Parts: sequence; C-alpha cells; structure tokens
Amino acid sequence: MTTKPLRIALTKGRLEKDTVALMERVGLDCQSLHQKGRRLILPLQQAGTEVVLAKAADVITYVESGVCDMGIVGKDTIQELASHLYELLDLGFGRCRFALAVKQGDDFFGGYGPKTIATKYPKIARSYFQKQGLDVSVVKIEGSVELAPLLGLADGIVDIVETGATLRENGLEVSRWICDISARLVVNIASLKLRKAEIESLVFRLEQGLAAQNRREK
Amino acid sequence: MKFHDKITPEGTRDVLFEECTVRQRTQDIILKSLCEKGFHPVMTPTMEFYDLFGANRYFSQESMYKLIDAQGRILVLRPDSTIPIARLTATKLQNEPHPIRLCYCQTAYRATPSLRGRLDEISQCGAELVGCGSAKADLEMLLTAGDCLKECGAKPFTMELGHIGAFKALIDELSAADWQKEEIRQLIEEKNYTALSDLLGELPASPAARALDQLPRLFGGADVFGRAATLSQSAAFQAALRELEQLYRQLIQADPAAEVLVDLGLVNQAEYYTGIVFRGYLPGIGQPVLSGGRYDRLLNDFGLQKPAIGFAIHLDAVAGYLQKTQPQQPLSPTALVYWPRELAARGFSFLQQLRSQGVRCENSLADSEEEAKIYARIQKIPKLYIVGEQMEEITIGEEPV
Repeated sequence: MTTKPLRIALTKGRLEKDTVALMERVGLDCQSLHQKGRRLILPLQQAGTEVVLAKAADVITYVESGVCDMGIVGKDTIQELASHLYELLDLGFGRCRFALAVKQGDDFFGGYGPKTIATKYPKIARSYFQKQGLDVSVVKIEGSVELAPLLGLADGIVDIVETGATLRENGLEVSRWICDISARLVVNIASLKLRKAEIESLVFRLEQGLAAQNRREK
Repeated sequence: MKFHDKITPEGTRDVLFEECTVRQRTQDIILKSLCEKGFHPVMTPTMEFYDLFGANRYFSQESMYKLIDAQGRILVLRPDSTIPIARLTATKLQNEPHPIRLCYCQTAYRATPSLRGRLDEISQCGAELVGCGSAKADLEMLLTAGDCLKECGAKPFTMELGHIGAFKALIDELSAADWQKEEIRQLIEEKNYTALSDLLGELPASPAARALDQLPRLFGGADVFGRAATLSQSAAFQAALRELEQLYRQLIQADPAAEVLVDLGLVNQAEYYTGIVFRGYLPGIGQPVLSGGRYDRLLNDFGLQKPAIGFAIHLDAVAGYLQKTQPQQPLSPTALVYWPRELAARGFSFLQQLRSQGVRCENSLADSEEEAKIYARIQKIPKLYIVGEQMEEITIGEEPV
C-alpha cells in the first residue's frame, strides 16, 4: 500500500496565521499556504505532508475519524466536541479565557431563582455549572452572546473573553473565570502509534520553535 | 403524517451486498478460528436489565439505549458483551471446571453524540478466558487475537501492549484527592503533556508525580522498557513492567513477524482493567480495531472470584479495511435456468444438479424464452439453460438488448 501523506488539519483564520508563522520558524516551507487561492488541501514542500484548511469544529471531526492525522485547534473547540484524541502540545498562541459574565453589578450566584445562561458553548457551560452543583438552563446563541442578558433573555453568559472590551462597552463584567484556552496540537489515536517517528519529529520541531520563542519573549 | 418511514435512525445503517458479504465472511472466519482454538460460542440477550450495567461505573447513563419492560423495569440494549458474559459465567457456569473459554459475535449498542458520523450499532467478535490469571493466559489471548485478524486477511496489523498496573502503582503512591487522580488519569489517556505537567506541578513534588509526568511519553518499541526502568522504584511498578516486558518478548518470539508496540500510557477504563491491556491497529483506520485486557475483578461483581482476560475485534472497522484494501467482485450468478411451467419438476432437478456442481445459478421467472434471454443480457449472466425435451445451452453475448 502506498503511504498516505501526513495530513495536518489547520483551523482557518486567526490560528492559521500563528500556525504558519510557527511552522516557518521551525523551517517548514509554507509557500503553498501563502498562495493558497481557494484550494483547501495544500501540499507542503516537505515530501509527504499536506495541510488541510478547515473550520475549528471540523478539525476535530477530521482528526478523530483519522482522515487527518494531526490538527491545530483551540482548546475551546476541543472541550466542546472532542472525546477520542491525543492532545500533545499547547502551542501558546490564540490565548484567551472562558468566563461567566453578567450585567455590571449583578450577583449571578445570589438568590434562589432559576438562572438562564446564554452561550455558544453549551457543553462547557453545562459542565461548569454541574461542577458548581447549580441548575441552570442553557440557551444556545450563535452570534453576539452579549445581547442575551441585555435583552433580558439570560442572567449571564459563558463566553470567550480576550480583552474584555466588548463586555465593558455593553455594560457587562466578568463574574468568574472558568478556564484558560489556547491553540493545541491534536493527534489521531491510531496515527500517533502507526506514524510515531514522523509525528514525533514534527512535534519535536514545533516544541523547539515554541521554546525558542518563549526565550526571546523573556 | 409519517416522517421517518424511509430512513434509518442516526447511528444505524443498512449493509448491502459486497459489504455484507465481507462482513459475514470476516465474522465466520473469526468465529471459526476461535472455536478451533477451544473457545465455546455463546449469545446473550440484546436486552438486559439496566442494573447489570447501571450499577457499575463502566458505562454512563447517557451512553445506553433504554427501554421499559411490561413490569415497568428499566432495560438497556447491551452496550457491551463482556459484562453479560461475566454475568453468564458467574451464574450458569459457576460450577464448570476452569478455565472457561467463551467467544461471541454480537452487536453492542451505544448512544453516541449525534452528527459525528459514529455508529451506534457496534458489531464485535470477541473472546473471554475466565479462570486463569497467569502470563500464559495473557500470551494465549494476544496470539489468539492476532491469529483472528491474520486469518481474515487484515494485514499489516500492529499490536500494542500496556499494563494498567504501572499506572495504578504510581497513582496509588501519589497523595492527591480522588478527583485530581481521575483528572491525571484522563490527561495521561489524552497524552496531554502540558496540562499533566501543570497539574502535577501543583501537587507536592514526589517520585510518583515525576514518574506520572513521564508515563504518557513512554510509548514505542522495546526501547520503552529501558526508558521506564528507572522511572520508579515502586515494587508494584517494577512488577508490572517486568510482566509487560516478558509478555512482549514472548509475543515476539512466538510470532517474529508481529509488529508490536508498547504504551505505558494506555490507561483508559482503568476501573475495569487490572493488568495487561492491548489494542490493535490497521493502517488508515483512525480508531483501534481490536481492544482488550485483563479484568480480574469484574466477575467479583457477580460473586465469582475468578480472574479473566478478553478482547473484542471491531468487525465494522476490520470489514471496512478489508473491503478497501482487497476489493471483491460482487457474487453474481453465472447461469440462468429457464423452464416452461409444465416442466417444473425437470427444471428444478436440473437447477439442483447445476448447483451441486458448484455453479451459481438463478431460477428464471420469465414467462418466455425470449424474456429470459433479455433478462440474462441485462443482468450480464453469461449462460442461459433452456429446459425442454432437449436441454439447450445459450451463451449470452454482449450485443445490446
């Protein structure tokens, strides 16, 4: 059987730029990623490596099923969707935090009335409140979640907070920090075992690249 | 209004022709191979009481399909076959001489998250060896599993070994809360090196913490044993490592062509397994096609103190692989037999005669010779036999109908 190229699924958008920068720092030729046009599968100069561009949630689907061997995706998406993956590396970029935010001055945990949470991440929200032993009803919102408490649909939101500017401008504030997130390198379970040498050498290079950058930043 | 009368429920599907043939053939080969090795076939009910699975921690409530029986009791579609077989062994076979070797081929049902392309019906062929806790039994099961895959043509196949005892020795030594230990286990299972180091870093420094930090990285070939040797002085850890290494060496001796890997970070279902754990992989298949291990405490749940080891082969995955790598032509008939209605007895005996010679032939339901010819041409059946006063054999050409 001919060997399949090592396929890396990359989350399109912001993580893509940071990932390409990292890959170039460790000496991978990403020419094809700069001139991608509308193509979605891009062979790298290095023989036998291919980059697939996909939406975050799809990265998990492709890597879990094994049609892609590795992927680069945010921890938020992993928490929301993944179950059978190896999560080998914290890439450090795409950093932000999950938080529970409420209208300024509100005490979310006060009183005993039923509470409603609006979020794009129902699984994360549910598991957070489950750990707190708190019954909340979770409403899934697709767009600007901040609207929900302002319109009176929800008592609070669970969302990704980067600078907090959007919250402030809309009269919301962080009530609790839930967890940190950043971009991760995920690997298919069978691929890691069957293509160990290839994957580990790539992981090693990326690790070196990250370490070098951390030293520079210090 | 009927909305769902033309589709199958999510997570289920129809299996047709070539795929069905490959799957049945694979199943037959595996079962035959197991029976020849002294395993006795069993079947357990598709439905079991919820208590059988609900009382233990091995399956979450969400992952099981539930029904209510006529007395209002909760039933589940079995999410696995090993637990029902443990029930069966500890009850009906409790007085049988040990070891007991059992095999099965049945479907397990799991409610999986929707829209992820997973199957809720999981066809498995498996074997369980109850009543022997020795390394010889471990080796027998590894070789048996490997043989099953080889015999159905699933090559090149990679076996992976681990030992849950290595992890348990270290985690027992660690002073941490139970929830932290479970989190550590999970991070090891995910090979989440960063989060694992962070979590262990929050605990007081100890040899066990340092060893656990390295555990998920200890996978690969025989080199793992060298790397693991100095990891911990714990007697239990060293014992598990020795057991694993011996088994690894014996497996390679017994089957020099075998591709064998080791992973000390195989810690899934740590509550269930008690010793050796193993998995099998086929190239291009994203999930293990074989999984198994030693579960010495499960039968205890049913009041029988007997060690046991077992494995399950994931039939869908193996059959899918075989179909992809060794595509087969569909089995179509090579002859069509037509007879006029009044010659039915003669026609039927001719049909049987052909079949007994191994010809795959189809009985023509046409009303005339001409219709039978047209049918044979459309179906690309190369030969047509017309039963009459004299037997006529017609070769069907390629000319258009």
